[in-house]
Amino acid sequence: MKNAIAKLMIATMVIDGHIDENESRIIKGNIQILGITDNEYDELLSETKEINELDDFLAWIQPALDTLKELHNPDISGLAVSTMMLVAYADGKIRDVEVKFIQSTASILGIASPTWGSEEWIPGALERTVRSKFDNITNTDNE
Amino acid sequence: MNEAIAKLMIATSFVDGSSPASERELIRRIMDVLQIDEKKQQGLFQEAEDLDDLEDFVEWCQSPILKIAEKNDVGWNAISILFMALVAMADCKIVPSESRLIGAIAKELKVNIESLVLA
Repeated sequence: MKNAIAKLMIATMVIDGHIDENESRIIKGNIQILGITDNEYDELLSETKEINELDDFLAWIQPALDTLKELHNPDISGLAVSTMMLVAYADGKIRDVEVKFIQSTASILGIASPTWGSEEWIPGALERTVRSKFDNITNTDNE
Repeated sequence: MNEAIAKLMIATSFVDGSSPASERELIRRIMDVLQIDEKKQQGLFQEAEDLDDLEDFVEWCQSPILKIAEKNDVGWNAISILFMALVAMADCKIVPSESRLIGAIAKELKVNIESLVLA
């Protein structure tokens, strides 16, 4: 399971075609918490450098998806997709390709697809913040 | 289990005294994926807003720590700390308060965090 999650995290990091060295170093450190060694991480990362086409990419992540599907555990699938969301956000920018990849993964794993298209991200965050502040003011007035 | 991990994520997001709206939104959407209902989400955020210092946060994290420890599975312990680390690195660096919180929880769950790029 840990290898599958690690692979999906790395896939999310590389899917936009750009690997930031600092981001890679931090994610490497985080993935090692799962017990993935330096060598295993470097090997996985070097495998991604051999990927030239979408079909190669899909073939590369398929074993990880199969592992998670075989567990038949929606909680673990949800956690795997959540780690992908956090990796996508690591550089503060969420790209459409990352969103599509994560949503496809969620769909393949049979769990609710994250609703976080970039077009609804900022308005959603603002709406919740304003609503929360409004609720606080209302609650204070009522006391 | 999902709620325990959500609580650890929220604690990590709030412990440095500021939780950007975009980061909260991300955590909310992750909690949606983890099937945590909106009322529960709001309750957890509200509780976190009322906490002041690191000790408060560590105390607040005791119930999720117990829940995770009950599983008696090093894999779950590691995944829980991984979520905290990923939230902390949302801005590509882990600040001292986040680092101390992660260190305290990792110690309780007996997770080795030597590999983390801590502040």
